[in-house]
Amino acid sequence: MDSVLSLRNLTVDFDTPRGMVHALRDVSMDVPRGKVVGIVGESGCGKSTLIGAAMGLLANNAVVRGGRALFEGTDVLTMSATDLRAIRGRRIAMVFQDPMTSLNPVLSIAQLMTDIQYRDRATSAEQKRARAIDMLRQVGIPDPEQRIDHYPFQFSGGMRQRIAIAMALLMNPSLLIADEPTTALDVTLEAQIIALLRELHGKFHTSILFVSHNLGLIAELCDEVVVMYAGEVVEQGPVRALFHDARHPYTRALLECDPARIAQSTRQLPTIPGEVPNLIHLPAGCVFRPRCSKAFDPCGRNAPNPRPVAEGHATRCYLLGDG
Amino acid sequence: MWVYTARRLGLAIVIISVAMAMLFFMIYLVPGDPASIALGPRATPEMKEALRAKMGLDKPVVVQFFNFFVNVLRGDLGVDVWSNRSVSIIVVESLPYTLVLTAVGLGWAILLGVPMGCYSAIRRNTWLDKISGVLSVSAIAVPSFIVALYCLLLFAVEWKVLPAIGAGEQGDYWDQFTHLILPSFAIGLGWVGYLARLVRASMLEIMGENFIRTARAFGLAERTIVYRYALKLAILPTVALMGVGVGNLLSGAVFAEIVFARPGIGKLVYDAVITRNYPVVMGAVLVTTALFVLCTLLADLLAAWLDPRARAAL
Repeated sequence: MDSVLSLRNLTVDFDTPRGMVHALRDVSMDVPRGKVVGIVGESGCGKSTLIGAAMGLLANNAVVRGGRALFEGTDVLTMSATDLRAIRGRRIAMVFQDPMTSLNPVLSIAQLMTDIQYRDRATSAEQKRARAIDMLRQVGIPDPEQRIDHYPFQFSGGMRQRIAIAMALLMNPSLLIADEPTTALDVTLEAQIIALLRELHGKFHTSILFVSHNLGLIAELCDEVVVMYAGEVVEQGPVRALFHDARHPYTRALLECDPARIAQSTRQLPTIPGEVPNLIHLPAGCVFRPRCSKAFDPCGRNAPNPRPVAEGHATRCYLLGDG
Repeated sequence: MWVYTARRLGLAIVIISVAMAMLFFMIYLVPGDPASIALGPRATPEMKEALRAKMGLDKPVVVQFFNFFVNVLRGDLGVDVWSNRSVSIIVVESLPYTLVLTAVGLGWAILLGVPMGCYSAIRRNTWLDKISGVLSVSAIAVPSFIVALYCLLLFAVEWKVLPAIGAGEQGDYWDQFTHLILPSFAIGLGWVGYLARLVRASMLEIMGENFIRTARAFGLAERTIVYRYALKLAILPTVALMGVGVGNLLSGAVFAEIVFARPGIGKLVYDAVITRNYPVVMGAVLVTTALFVLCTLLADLLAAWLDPRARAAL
């Protein structure tokens, strides 16, 4: 299978004054070419670290303990700064969470979008501008010929996120990473942005790594899902399999907690009891055991390895037998 | 933008008017009669009375104040009590020296302070950053007159590489330039440190912003990120502050002109105060005040113009 991005047994720690934070542990996942892969998990589960590793943008105190992050076959973790820079923006592009702060406030959209094309020395300024205008039109910015000379603050949040998407797709990258691109937007805009991403995916066939904590969005947009909990991939598989045949108790609990799936009207929304474990002092055995309603004898001894459920569907849980 | 400019301009006019009123009444309250001073100890009361009438000093205060205001608006700052020359001309003659001195002092501050602050922010916590920090704080803390005296002692007396006093030969630009180096450095040094600290702090803040991370994610060159994406924003508070800085440098120029015996507004005011030449004091101080207000105005407008958000909102 041809993967644009494939993480293999990636383990990343953060060296903090309070101790080593084990942010990612033995994470393996793939983004197949032309597919949309969703990562779902609550805050602090390692989603951002995973993206940082994929982009080679890890914080200075990050320590890669092991594993590889292969982008089109090359390990970004061992790449030189120059080589990394050559990939960023051209082969991998990223859309950030908060469109209100992710665009430079003192540069116009035209300046921002021309700067991204700095590698095309042969292209004239007019051509770069025309290309930017064309991309703005494709993401649904009305009247792009005039609007391109405006500054980010002259656009609404939804429009800014469209601009951010236009910027990301401008160089026709093979992988687009979207880090909770709709979290800062209201629900109507969220639906529009998701529709836009789906439309653009149909048009450009860019592989997308879509990070969210919203299961509904994942179901709508993605081909495959990776469920993360406390720095581990607990379950991954095709979207249908995951939503209809979830095997890991955490995935099941997440699905039960999704307000959109609750059939009966209730005053109390379901929650998963307990708290996310401390990533400095991890519990022995399975990370989800302290909160798991189905925990039994083997869970406390060793952390379970991923075991296959079906083709492309795997989970880390002892409920599926010893494996 | 135009509304803001107009409002700012109106405010500047009000400030200058208030400054004029304060100046007028301060001089009015100072003991000593300009007419008696001008005429010397052997003048008769009749002669004094005649001069007082000529200078308008016999009229009520309000009328004097009004006349003063009208005269200033007409560009007439009175006449020098000693030489009978027009104060406006005397001030205009001295002004270029002070302006050049201030501008070069500002030049030192910007040329050394901004890159120093930038470098410190990018290479944060390296030993060069720490050295730059110590140097900046020292530059701020040491009074300019100490710097001036040591500069004189080292460069002019000890090593004899730069001239000590005066402004240089008329028309000989190189000579005038070498005469500028020491005094401008003396007044500008404190601001080098000040700007370095300020730029470092704003750069550190800006470099942590999300849009810098975005620029990195697009693989832009670090040079582009620092100078195009960060410095353009980090420089804004500095620009606004430079208005005040110019005022500070102007007052620094006054003492530098005395220490280095350079012609200029400062020297003019100093000599005029000693000889109780009130019209000259008033004229020179008024022009300096107007200059200061003008610089603050320009700095504010520049800062607003550089920031598209402010530009659009105004």
